Amino acid sequence: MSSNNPKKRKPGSEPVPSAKRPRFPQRAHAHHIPTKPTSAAYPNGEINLKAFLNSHQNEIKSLENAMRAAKKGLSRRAFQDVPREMRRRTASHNPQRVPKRLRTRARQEATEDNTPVSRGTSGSGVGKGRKKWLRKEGIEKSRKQWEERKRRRKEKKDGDEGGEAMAGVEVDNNMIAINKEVVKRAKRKFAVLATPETPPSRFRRRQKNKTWLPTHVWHTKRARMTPPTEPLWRFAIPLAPAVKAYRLTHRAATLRGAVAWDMSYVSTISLEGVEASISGLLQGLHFSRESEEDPWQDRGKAKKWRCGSRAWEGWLYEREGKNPQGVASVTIVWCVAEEGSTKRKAFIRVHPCAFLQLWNEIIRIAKVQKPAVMVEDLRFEVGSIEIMGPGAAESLCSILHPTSSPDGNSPQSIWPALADVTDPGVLPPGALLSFPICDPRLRDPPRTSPRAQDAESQTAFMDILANWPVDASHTASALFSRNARLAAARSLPSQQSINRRKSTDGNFGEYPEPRATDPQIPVLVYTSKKSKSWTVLLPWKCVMLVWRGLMRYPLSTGGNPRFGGLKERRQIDFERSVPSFPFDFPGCDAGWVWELQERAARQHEWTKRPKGKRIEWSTIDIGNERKGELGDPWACDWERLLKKDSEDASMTGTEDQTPTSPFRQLPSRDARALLAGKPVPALSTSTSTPHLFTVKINMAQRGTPTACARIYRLPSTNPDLKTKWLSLLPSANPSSSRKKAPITPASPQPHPPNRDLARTLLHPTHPRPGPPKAGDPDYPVVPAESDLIGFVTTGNYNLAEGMPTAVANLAVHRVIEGLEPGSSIGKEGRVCIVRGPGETTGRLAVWDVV
Amino acid sequence: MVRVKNRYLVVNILYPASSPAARAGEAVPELLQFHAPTPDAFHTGQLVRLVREGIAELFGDYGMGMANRTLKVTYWSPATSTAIIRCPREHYEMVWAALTFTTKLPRPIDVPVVFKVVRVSGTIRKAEEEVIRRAKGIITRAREVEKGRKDVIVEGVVRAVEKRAEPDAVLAQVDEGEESESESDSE
Repeated sequence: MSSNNPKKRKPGSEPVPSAKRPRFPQRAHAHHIPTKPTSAAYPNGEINLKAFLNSHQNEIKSLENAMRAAKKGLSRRAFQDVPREMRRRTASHNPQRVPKRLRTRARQEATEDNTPVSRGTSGSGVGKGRKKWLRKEGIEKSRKQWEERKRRRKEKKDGDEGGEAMAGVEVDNNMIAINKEVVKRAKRKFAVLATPETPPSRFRRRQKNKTWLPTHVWHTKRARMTPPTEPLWRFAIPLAPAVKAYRLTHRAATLRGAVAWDMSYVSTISLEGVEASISGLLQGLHFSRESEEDPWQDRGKAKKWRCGSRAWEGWLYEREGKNPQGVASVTIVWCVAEEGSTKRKAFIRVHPCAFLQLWNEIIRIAKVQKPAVMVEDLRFEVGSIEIMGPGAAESLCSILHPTSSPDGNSPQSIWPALADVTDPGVLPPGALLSFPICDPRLRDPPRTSPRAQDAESQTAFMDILANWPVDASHTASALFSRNARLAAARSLPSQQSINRRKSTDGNFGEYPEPRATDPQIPVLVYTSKKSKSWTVLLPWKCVMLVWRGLMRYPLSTGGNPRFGGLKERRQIDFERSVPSFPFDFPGCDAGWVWELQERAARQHEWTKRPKGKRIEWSTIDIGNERKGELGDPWACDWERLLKKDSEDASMTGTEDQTPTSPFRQLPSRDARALLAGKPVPALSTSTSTPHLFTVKINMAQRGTPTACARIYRLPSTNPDLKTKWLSLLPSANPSSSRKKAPITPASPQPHPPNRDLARTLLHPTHPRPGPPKAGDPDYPVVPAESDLIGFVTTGNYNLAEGMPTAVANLAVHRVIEGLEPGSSIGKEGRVCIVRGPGETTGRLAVWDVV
Repeated sequence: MVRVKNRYLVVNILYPASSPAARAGEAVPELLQFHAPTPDAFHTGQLVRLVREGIAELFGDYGMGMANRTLKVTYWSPATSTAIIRCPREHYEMVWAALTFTTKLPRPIDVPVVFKVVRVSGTIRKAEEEVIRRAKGIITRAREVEKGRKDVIVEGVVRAVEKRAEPDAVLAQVDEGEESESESDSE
């Protein structure tokens, strides 16, 4: 009866469509692995070897298939198949943002998933922004305006002159020539600061208070840049790549690959004059006073440097004073002397944070030289690329292709052989090469440069490294001449014409034949021993061409060179435990300004957080009833290290005056002398200004030092505390200390009564073997403020060393306090206590001068 | 995210006495006889039931409750007598014990067997890789047998068995070295 009730739904009828479609539909039988039944594998139930082998082979096959299917079964969207570094943020909702081959799949997935597909708003199809056709209107408007102007000009022309068009042209040319001469004759008396070229109108508003690097647009797609309203040193600088880069950068710079930076923001100052004047200027600024080698001696590297075949890195100082303040760490390159000219040229490369200060110093001292030195600001004319890592030389050799190679020993002919260099340290220190290169776009896509494999070329390569024949064949680089720089930038053909030439010229897939009219881009390549990097100087407008080539170069070890931002540059320096300018030099003005900026930034970060989620500095208990963080918690509070009476307003700066550092930076040579107990002239002459010196910190136990961490010496007033701290120091051979420690707390009685046993279990009378751990009640407290000696400026886990390290600065007067003059500082004197801001426990560490 | 953690046991069924499927034929090499196929009558469901019953017998209702949660046979190949059994991570030993204590296939087949757990892994992939590795090893050994050479491992086992009077001791010998979770070929 009930079975033929038509209203009742039959059990086998169609299932009701579920309210929500499953987001990731399970494929049926995805996890089922097919097998063969025994009856099929062994027909007639007969066991033989053939069937046995077959059945096991089938098993292998079906399991391998199952593993493959399982991998496929993981649902992946189309944009996830794009390699990590090529992904775009918008690819998840815009199918146009994935590579062409994935576009159909992406679109299909978007419709299946019911995700709205956004159409790109760029390009000519829809117009830009909310008011779609604004640009079209604008174009129309400007066309009308242009027509109006043309009409007016015509009217004016008709009114002014009549006829003789040819003569008019002639006159015009003469006028231009005359004007040029006038400009030439009226030599500028004062050096002026360079202004960046006016950008195209559509980019002009975005560069009002800053300048873009030549590769800006490339970087904005792939890196986090400085915020639009807060440029760094008046530049928009890439801070870090958008993809994860920390470990990859470490690997690329040390093990395999290469990392490149667009360093065009580094300023270039050109000096021109007779050699004696330029030398006098540099000597007046105490160039490289801190280094062991004297750049002014008449032999060896110093002589080669002055000939123009080496680059020299060192500090420039203020002119005045017996113990002058360091201004900036610079690289100086001389131009090779031109025949028939007594004048020489030199480039000073300086970080933009110290540019203005150095510029003023140079201008002042250039005037007093006899004959005077002409100073020129080449900030927006000379760009640079820095590249490091084992694959750096190889990629540069492929991208920077010399236009011609006239003879055997010229830099051009030696350059390709340097592709084998994996460490610039094997080259002479500061080795320098200069030659003109052809447009990298003509040799695109780049190919892996051939590496010498046979013994013959290896010996030739070793020969080049040993003799360095470039020294003899150096000629003046065209980069030093303004005309050559401008000519190179102006003669660059358009991409369109290059494409046309590539499609018509020569064979398909081969580079087009070089022509006599091709642009010759002057480049200057030098290596730095300190940062183990290659630096390429080239005209500002040519940076982008070389950069694009570099980023697409296929390394012989696989992959492409990576790019880095400011963070990566600092990371590399940190991993090598090298202080980087200006961040780790609070003793010079540039570093001091940076420190003030960082303070404000850290404080801002703190105030942004809700009250419950930020460290309440005033309640931090650092032992001995001391409450509250020592000094400004967001700062490396250097002012605390000053003697009380020497505070003044110049440290923080006023509106018209940049802040100046109350400290001096002690060069590491002097710091080492100080440790050895030798007298240091810089310290004996000026007792008033306190000095800082840079150290590297190695943690003795656990803990990771971070920026702003406070560094104390061992307590000087409390001997008990000092022995407590020293007992934490791991001994030289850990096996002996382990022997001494009791292995198990031996109980006095063989069978204690139960109650005693319970008590001992609850309150262990025997302390844990070994030194107390952080958090234990008997862990020593942090020393008093009088024992504060410095602050960590950069600290992190160091991938190169496999343990946490830090770069810090210590105040000299605090370090040598209590020592009798002439005594040296041994290992125990270099033990210190590091405490991060907001932490209550200190950690034992050892510092070393770097 | 909370995940249910599992263990995957790779199980081989060994035939110390002659297999029912091989009964018809004449003398087969020891290797083949040892790794003989299992009759189709013993299917996945029976394997699960066998494990459950074993657990119930050894560990009672507690064991059933704990081990039964995610118990599943993810792979069963009767032709090669190999299985992969999924079970809860915390109680995989129960399943292992239930398998080890099984000495006979269930009623209609009723032949003496040894369930040998050869690998315990956390992912099905590693379990599958282990099965593949073992199948490759068996294939090379079978090729040796095909060429007429004696199988060294089986010979060793046979010799060891002959040394002992009791036939039951074979089981103990075979299972030697099973303590480690992933041991090498030691049959």
